[in-house]
Amino acid sequence: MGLRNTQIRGFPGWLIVSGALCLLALFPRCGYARSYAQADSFRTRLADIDAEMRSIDTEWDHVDAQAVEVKEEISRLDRQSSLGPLDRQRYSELRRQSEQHSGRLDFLQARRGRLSEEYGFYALKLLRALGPEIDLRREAYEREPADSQARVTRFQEFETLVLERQKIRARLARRGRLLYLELDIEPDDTPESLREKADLMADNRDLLGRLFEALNSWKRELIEDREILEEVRRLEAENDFFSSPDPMGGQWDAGWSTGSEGPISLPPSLADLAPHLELSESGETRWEDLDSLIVRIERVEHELGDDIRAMDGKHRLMLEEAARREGDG
Amino acid sequence: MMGRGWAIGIVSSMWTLALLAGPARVAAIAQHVEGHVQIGLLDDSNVRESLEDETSDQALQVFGSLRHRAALAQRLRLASVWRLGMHRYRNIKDDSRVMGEAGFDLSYTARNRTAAGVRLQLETRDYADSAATRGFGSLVIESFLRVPIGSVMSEVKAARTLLDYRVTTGREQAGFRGDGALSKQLSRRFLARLQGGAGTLDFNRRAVRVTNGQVSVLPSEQEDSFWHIGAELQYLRGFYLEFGYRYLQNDSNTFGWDFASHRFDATFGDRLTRTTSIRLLARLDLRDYEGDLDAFGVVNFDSEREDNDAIVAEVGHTIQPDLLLKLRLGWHHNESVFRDRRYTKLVTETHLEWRF
Repeated sequence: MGLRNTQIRGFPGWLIVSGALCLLALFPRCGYARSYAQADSFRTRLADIDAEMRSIDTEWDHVDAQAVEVKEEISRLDRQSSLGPLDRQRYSELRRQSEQHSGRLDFLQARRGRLSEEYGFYALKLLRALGPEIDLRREAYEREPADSQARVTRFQEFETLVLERQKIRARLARRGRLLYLELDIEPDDTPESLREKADLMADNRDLLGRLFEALNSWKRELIEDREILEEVRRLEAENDFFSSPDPMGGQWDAGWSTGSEGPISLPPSLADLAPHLELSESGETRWEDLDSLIVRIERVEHELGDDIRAMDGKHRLMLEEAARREGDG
Repeated sequence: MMGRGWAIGIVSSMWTLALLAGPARVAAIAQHVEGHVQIGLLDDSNVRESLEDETSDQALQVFGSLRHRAALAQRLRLASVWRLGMHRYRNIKDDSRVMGEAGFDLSYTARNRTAAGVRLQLETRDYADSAATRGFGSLVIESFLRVPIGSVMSEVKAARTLLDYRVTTGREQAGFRGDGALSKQLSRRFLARLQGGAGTLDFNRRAVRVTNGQVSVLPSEQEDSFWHIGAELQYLRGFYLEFGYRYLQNDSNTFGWDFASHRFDATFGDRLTRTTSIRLLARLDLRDYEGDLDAFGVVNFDSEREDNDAIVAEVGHTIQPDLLLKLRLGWHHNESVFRDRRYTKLVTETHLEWRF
């Protein structure tokens, strides 16, 4: 092939670079907002999705029960050696109903799947929006003087939001509940039952502490791996940069680097955290996304730190209340 | 003048980007900017890359880079990398050079990790000796698609490559290439990768032949086509290790450019202590040319430091969190301007690097 049509002499490179830069400067205007002011709209959307899912569950139970009955009757007719005209008509009707039930159940299942996906999407948005709000409440609580009523009130506001976040996380977790902070001080609690609740709270807090440690340890491993990988890639890039381009050798596309990198798997002990770390279904992220994964881990660590503070605070309140009720008694 | 245009564009753009990516903007649009500047001294045992007349010299090297990543939307990412470097030799001043590079990567990643995007890479290089014919500008435009197939990640790329030498006319290179790769995580630590591809390269070069002492220089329109296939195994956990092999077959309409290449790569990286780390790159490129090149004295004007065989070892020491001292030793055994005849050079470097 001749090169007359492919010459780039006189190509206005500076114009392309500058143009690309102008586009780059404009793109940030399209950035998406993550203001926690949207938390209420996410809560409303989640409540709507929840209501629709409950309605689907109710209908599912109803249709499923009908389907079981119809199938049992079909089986009964199947077992008969011969069917009379009325039975044959009934059999055809039952088969038609069974197909209808099956079709409806398929539809409900698909609809529920889509709603579940949508729930996950808005739940993550709400989790992000809750973060700054919880930070503000925590700071307000910590500013109040110790042993003051205002501190207890501020703590309860902080705890309410932490509990909301825990419930969302528990819902997103793959294996049942991740944590629980629902133990509360009830008016009819005796000092003994309050101390039992406080012990349970302390156990859960320890569980959370171990999860926090596991997450922190994983983060340290990832940071170390990231540093090693980055240093290797830096050297490769620098070596390529100061070498001559080799159009067949690959330096024109990636040099010694090899494009997309392998995935990093979430340790099994942290599998419940996959949705909060925004990992894929397989619990994996790519080596090239290590930076953003580490940032996400730090965010979850921050959230777990709030949970631990809330549990410590509630544990203390329970013990204080038990002592007070014992004194009153 | 294209060369100055590129250089001005890249340098001014680096500064503009740095200003655009000031702290306030970074916070506002979820973007990330990092960079480094390094200054160092190097000793090159064979600056002219000669087979017989090895001349050593020392050079001051300045090198800087800026990397930028921005989330334009939830799944749309823009990444760019900017590099600017300079070599200034103490005695052999005409080999001093300035080089710049800018790369852009715009990609969209769907929920199932399917990703598609385009990449643009611009490069420029100029020498102090304005008569030197090695200065060039190049452009690569590439589109790519990554699709997960079960536990295997597949990737296909198509690229257009253009390179224009600065001074002489009729020395351009233009090519198309398509590449594909399949990667699979074998365990938490191991990744295997198979890759292959094919392409064409068209050169306008001066074909020089030395026959019985007679030198003839003829303009030649060279058309090459090539294909390659290879495999890699990567390990990452506590340290990084990679082995790769690539077979490449090149067919040309010009004598001296038909060859088969077996390339072996090894890469290693580890942290010796909290503040000291080590890296090693090694490459062996065995080429088998068709025909007796020595008899015809086939000369490749384009040859510069294309890495054929190389071992590069680097030790880095962190003086402060953002300040590093790097010592590097490189042995290069590359094809000279005479096809299939390799020169050797040893490069010793020390650099002070500041990261931000």
